[in-house]
Amino acid sequence: MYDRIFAGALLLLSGLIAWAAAQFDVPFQYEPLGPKAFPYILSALLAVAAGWLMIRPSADDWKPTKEVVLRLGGALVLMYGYAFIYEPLGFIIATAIVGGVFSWLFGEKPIKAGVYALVMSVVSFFLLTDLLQLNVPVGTVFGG
Amino acid sequence: MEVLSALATGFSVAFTPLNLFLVLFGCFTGTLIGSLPGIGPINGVAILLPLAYSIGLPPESALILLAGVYYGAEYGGRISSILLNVPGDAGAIMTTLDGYPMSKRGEGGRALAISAVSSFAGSMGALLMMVIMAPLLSELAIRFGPTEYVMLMVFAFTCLATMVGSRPIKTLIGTLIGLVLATVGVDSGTGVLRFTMDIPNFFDGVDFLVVVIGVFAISEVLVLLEQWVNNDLKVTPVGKSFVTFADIVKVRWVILRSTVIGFFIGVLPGTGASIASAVAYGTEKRMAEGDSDEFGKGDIRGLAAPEAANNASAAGAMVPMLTLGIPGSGTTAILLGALLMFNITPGPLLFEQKPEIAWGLIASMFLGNIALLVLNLPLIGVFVRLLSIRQSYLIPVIVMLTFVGIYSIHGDSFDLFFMVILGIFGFILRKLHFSLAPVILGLVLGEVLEENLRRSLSMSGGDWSILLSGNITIGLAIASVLALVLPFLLKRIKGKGRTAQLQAELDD
Amino acid sequence: MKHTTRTLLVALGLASSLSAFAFETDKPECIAPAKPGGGFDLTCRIASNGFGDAGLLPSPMAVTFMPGGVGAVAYNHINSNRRDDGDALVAFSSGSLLNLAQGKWGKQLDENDARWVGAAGVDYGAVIVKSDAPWNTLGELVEAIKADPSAFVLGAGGGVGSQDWMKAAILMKSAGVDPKKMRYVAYEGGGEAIAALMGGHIKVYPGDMGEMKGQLEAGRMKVLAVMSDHRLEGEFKDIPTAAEQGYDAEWAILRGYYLGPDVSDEAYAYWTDTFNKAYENPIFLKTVEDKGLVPYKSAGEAFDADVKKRVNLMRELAKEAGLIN
Repeated sequence: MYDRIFAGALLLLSGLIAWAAAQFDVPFQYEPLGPKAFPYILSALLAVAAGWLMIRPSADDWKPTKEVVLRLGGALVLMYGYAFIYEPLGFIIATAIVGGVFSWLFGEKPIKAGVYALVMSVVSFFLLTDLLQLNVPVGTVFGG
Repeated sequence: MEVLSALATGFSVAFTPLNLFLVLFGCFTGTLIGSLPGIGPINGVAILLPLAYSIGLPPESALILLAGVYYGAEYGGRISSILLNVPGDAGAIMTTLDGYPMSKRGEGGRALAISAVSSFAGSMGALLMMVIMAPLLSELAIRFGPTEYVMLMVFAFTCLATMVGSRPIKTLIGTLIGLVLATVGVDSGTGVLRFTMDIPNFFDGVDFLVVVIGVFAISEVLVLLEQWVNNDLKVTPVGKSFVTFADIVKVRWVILRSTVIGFFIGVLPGTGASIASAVAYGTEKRMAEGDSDEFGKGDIRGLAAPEAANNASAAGAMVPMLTLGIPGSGTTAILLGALLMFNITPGPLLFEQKPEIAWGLIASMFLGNIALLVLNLPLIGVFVRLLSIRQSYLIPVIVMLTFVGIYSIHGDSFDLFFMVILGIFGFILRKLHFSLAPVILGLVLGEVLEENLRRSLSMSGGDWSILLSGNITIGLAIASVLALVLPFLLKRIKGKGRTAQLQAELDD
Repeated sequence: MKHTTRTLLVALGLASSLSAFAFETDKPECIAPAKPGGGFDLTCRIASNGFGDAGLLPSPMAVTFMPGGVGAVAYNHINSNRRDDGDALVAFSSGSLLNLAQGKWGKQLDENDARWVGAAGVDYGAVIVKSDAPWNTLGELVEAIKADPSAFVLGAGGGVGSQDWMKAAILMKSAGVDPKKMRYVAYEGGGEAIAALMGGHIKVYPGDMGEMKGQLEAGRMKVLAVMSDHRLEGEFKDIPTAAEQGYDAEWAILRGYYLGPDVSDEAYAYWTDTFNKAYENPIFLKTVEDKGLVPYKSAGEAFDADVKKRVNLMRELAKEAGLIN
């Protein structure tokens, strides 16, 4: 079933690709193929392959429990949130919060997780900026 | 022999105390930097290049340092591929296929050691070939025109289709998804924007690292979380496993074949480690016909082949860079940048005008390889300890590093959001038993394939028969057909029950 | 934001000082909108090495890379995040201007969204063939092309609408051949195109003179014409111009730098002055020549006007070639 749903999504995608490629604004065709041909070819191949998968899907073997779905959803929200606060709050605060929750998600006691994440984020901030000279945000809310 | 005396000059440059120190230092820091997921050779070189420049190292010493960092970071990337299932660069994708399963069953040390030995052998073999054949090979590199590239890609994809993953159709779909991702961005032929949805971040295409880290690392975190909730997450046993003499004997021909394959593919500009490792992996799986069930589940041959091949191709890529000034891979582009920074223009005259640089660099690559082996074999035990860190401590670090690594590419949060979305996508693919490697290979090779296809047809004015107009292209076409048909034929001939095979695949 | 604050602080601090300029850069940076190794990298090296060696900057200039769309990503970045950052020069070339003229850097951005501040130098187009090719003058080549345009594959390091393509189109036009008939193969950068020329995959490469530095000596390629209005000096002095051979095919590649659109007049004046000092400095000029460029002395408002004029000219050309409406 999952395979069928996925194949359906791919069919939709292949249609979208072909449609979007048709919209490309090519002011002048100076070469035989142009920018549209390759996407068309890919779209056609993808449609055929997805059709095949639709007809001959594999058996489903992923049976997540409610808790799995919940935790996975939590982790995704968390990572999305991390991306959201990474720049404004800066590396240290964002990492301390998100790292702490992740540690807790993987079974650490809340206080221990928080302390660990805080230490990790502060130590790695200085390692990453001073030693590796990477571009690590300080946080725009601090005007830094 | 002229070559030998030139090489001796090179070694006399490399063998000064300063340069020996630099190569060791470079290998060591490179390994550390490269072992961080998402942070690879490019960062390593980018960090040390300005440093080398500002402390006023002479050009040959700076290059030696960079070669050390580069080799170190490449090897460091293997550590995260094998232990954490996070490839650091395109060449390491195939390494995850058998390396990660090995470390899952407690053979992380053995896997790292085999990787180290295969990489070493692959590099050394390729360097030797380069020293002997460089001038000849630069001719081969330029003979390879657009049509030859198209057929080479076709061959690589057919190799892949029959060799990786649970079902060929899923490999094909994965590859196609990668190819589609590769079309995003400004079309280099016409400047037309394709599939960018008017987002400037997509103008330059989908960044390779964002996809790799998203699809591999983020999805890995999700998989680990699921296993933890289901109580399936066993603490990986950290055995004292190490490479044995019997292992090396078993893979000696694998390494030799993969070195040759990797080297010749590496010589062709623009192809490099990803194709080399895919073709080597496919070849070995086919050579092991009848005994190939363990491939993808932690077979040491499946690990040795891509490791020897990608390192050999890295050396091969130096040939067109040094002799023609064409960077054949991302890495050589960095080295080329470094050379230019010191006002050295690689090209036909480099070996005549600046032999101490050209041969010093080659000698330093020999030294870098030895240094890496000597440094890292004893340290493998330390690296493997990484796995004994509790998940609740390790996961936050992995998540943090992926974010830091991706953010540092463009300094834009957009990449972070995109990475997470790709992570969800990667997770779905894994749950549906798609292999992730084809997606990445499709992404890496898509541009090369499309560009060369369009170049070919521009040359012929739209006549497709140009694709089969040369000896090399016809040879590659025949090889592709054989790669597709041979496995089925062989099975028929051997009278092996197809059903049994299918059953084994479903059990996967 | 980080930069905003710092610039502000610097501006506040210096407003009361007695410095000749109300602005002095404390952390100069040159953004090369490409990966390391290409023409933009080279342009930034001219600023960082040239200014540095000539002692024109208070501290060394860092070179950073921001690859993407021949400068599109950097242009968008500066326009959205660092509009008033007086420390960051961004490298550009005629190729960038050509894209700008065609609206490829975002429909809402044009040449008025930057302060064009100074030139690094110019380079000229060159008609390059393999050294064992049968043609020795532009005239012989043009005759051969006219005889059978479809048998002639040209190739260079840019797609349709890039400056390399423009050079090919101009060459074709001057020969009286419809540019639409030409077989043009787009490569990724000059290096690849040169390799294709060597391998016999393309017959003519409309490249740049700068790339030919040291290559003529190697004897693998020859230059049939330089696409400039006068002969060059030094090792290229024997190469005739296209005009000398009776063909109206000229193409100059300008390389220079811009600042963000909201950079203060003080900062703009500071950089203008730095460039003007550099143009008088033999060390800087030597750096320019070492990188294969011909010095081009123009900075400040005059340069800004010059760039805008060029963009307009290119817009006309692109319209003529049917690239934009």
